[in-house]
Amino acid sequence: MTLLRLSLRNLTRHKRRTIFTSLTLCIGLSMLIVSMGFLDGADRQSFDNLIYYQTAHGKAMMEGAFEDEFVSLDYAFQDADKIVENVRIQSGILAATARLRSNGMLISGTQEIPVIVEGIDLEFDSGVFKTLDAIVAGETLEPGTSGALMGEMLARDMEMQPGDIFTLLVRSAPGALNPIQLKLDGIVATGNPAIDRMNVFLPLHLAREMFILPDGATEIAYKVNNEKKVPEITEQLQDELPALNWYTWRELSADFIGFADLKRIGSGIMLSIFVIMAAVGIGNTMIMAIHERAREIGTLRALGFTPSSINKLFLLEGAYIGIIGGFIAVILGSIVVLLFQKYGMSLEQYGDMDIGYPIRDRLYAFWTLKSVLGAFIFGILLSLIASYGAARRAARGQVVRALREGML
Amino acid sequence: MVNNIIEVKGLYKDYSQGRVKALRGINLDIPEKSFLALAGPSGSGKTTLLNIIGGLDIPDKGEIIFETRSLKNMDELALTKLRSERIGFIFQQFNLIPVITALENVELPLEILPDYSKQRRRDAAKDILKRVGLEGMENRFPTQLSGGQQQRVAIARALVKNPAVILADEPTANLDGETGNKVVDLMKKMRDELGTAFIFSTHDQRVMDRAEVLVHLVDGRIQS
Repeated sequence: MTLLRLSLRNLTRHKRRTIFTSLTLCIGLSMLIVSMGFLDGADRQSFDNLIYYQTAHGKAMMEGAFEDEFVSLDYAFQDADKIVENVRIQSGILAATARLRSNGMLISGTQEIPVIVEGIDLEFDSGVFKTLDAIVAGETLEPGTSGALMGEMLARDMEMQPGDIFTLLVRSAPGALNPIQLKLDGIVATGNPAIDRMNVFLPLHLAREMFILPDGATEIAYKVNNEKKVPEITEQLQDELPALNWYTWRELSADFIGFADLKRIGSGIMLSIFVIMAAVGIGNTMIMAIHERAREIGTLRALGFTPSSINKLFLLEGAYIGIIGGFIAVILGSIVVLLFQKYGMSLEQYGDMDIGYPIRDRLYAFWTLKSVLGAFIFGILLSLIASYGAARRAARGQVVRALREGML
Repeated sequence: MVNNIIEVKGLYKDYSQGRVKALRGINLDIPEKSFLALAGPSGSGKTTLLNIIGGLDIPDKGEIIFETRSLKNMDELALTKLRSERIGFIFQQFNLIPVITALENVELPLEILPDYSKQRRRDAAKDILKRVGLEGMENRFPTQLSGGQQQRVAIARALVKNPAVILADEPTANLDGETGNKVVDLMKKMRDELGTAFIFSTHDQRVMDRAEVLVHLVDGRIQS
């Protein structure tokens, strides 16, 4: 109790110095909190994007399809509609749909470009994906028509507008080249560059005709009613329908998640340097303090305070600076993060540049207790580490020299 | 029969790799309840002797017997414990902690002792501050007190744990003559009331005159 009170009072000796040291730490920690907020926001937006447009909550494919880098009809399977119906009746499943994907060549005028052709079930796809809600120009696909949708960046690259006619050249399942003329009904902007740059969407029945795969699909995608139960439900589907391999969205996005984690670590290290610099400031403050108070340290030792008590006294002072700086940083950082969580940050200046996240237009930060608390604890720990050298020196100093010369 | 509280036996201490000989064979018996002055010019070894008696410094040769226990065989923690329980210190520059009040300064030595509740600490500190004539000034910070008052707080801080001995290094050197005399009077009064031995260094003749036992040190040796 004495040490707690004494160390707290000691901070009031040089108020300006205490405030300046705490503020330095506060600035470093605030930057860390804001950056973590943006990384958390980017992760959240990216995961949502992946679930809405790419992976759903999970997918089923033929064995080897997920591991193969290339989209291929070799992994197509039959009786897809029956499997979808079977999936829909499983417990925990909210919706399911079949998709048929393969490669193709888009030809418009004199231009041609390789694309991914994806047949989507107009009746059920919206229950699982948001692709049909992401139309930014033109209109949606109508059942029974020969229309198509394409990604925003692909349409721009090909200088195409809704209503334009183009040719899609695909190789059917039996191996024959099959050209088909289509009208561009609409343009989708999902924010996921992999989709917006490469994908052409057709009604599933049309894709099946083109690829000569009646009732065929390359994947079954599903949405569950409780996201936390995705692994459990996926396992259950694997047991019930073992002919296909079932994957959770996290498994399907493992590369992206790993990459995002790496980025988080990298950013964390970069920003930690600022905080470490602030911690060096704390270390200097503590060294100044022990030199100024050498005689007092000697007095306390003469009164019977043990070296470890002196050590604790200075560590506590460092911890208090960490707590003050951390507390202000939590408030400031949280305000900034919450503002960016509400209003977001425009990404217009980046244009089509791939920022490494499937995000378009605006990046929204996301406040998490974990990140804020983590930064706060990190600040206190760093303050303790920074104070340790000075505290150790104070504890080990010669009492007689401290009393006589005021030096440790 | 009067018991010795401290026995100094053949004490030698050098500094600066033997170039400065601070103590050269000091032998001294200090009885209980003594009021003893160590007199001598600067550099005569007064402070060194006090530091060694208080377990703050270690002699090169010789030993201190404190209440029948030799300090020679004690490690740092045992010496710290001895100081916390049996020895009080008073310093020339008072050495009060400036960020806490007079009352809290006096409570400080009790906070590291077991068996002292918060209330007991507070009562003991208030009582001793009253005895040294600082009633009503408990909540003042050291900077709000005069030099004499600060030294009174230091005396109260040294006395509050009922030590066997108080070691005071030039307790009046930073005070004017009249205040210095009052401080010495107070120390003597406390010795009479509480039975605590006082050993203090001084080079002030008026203080020496008030000592019951006067030990003169010259060049690290006892002269008389």
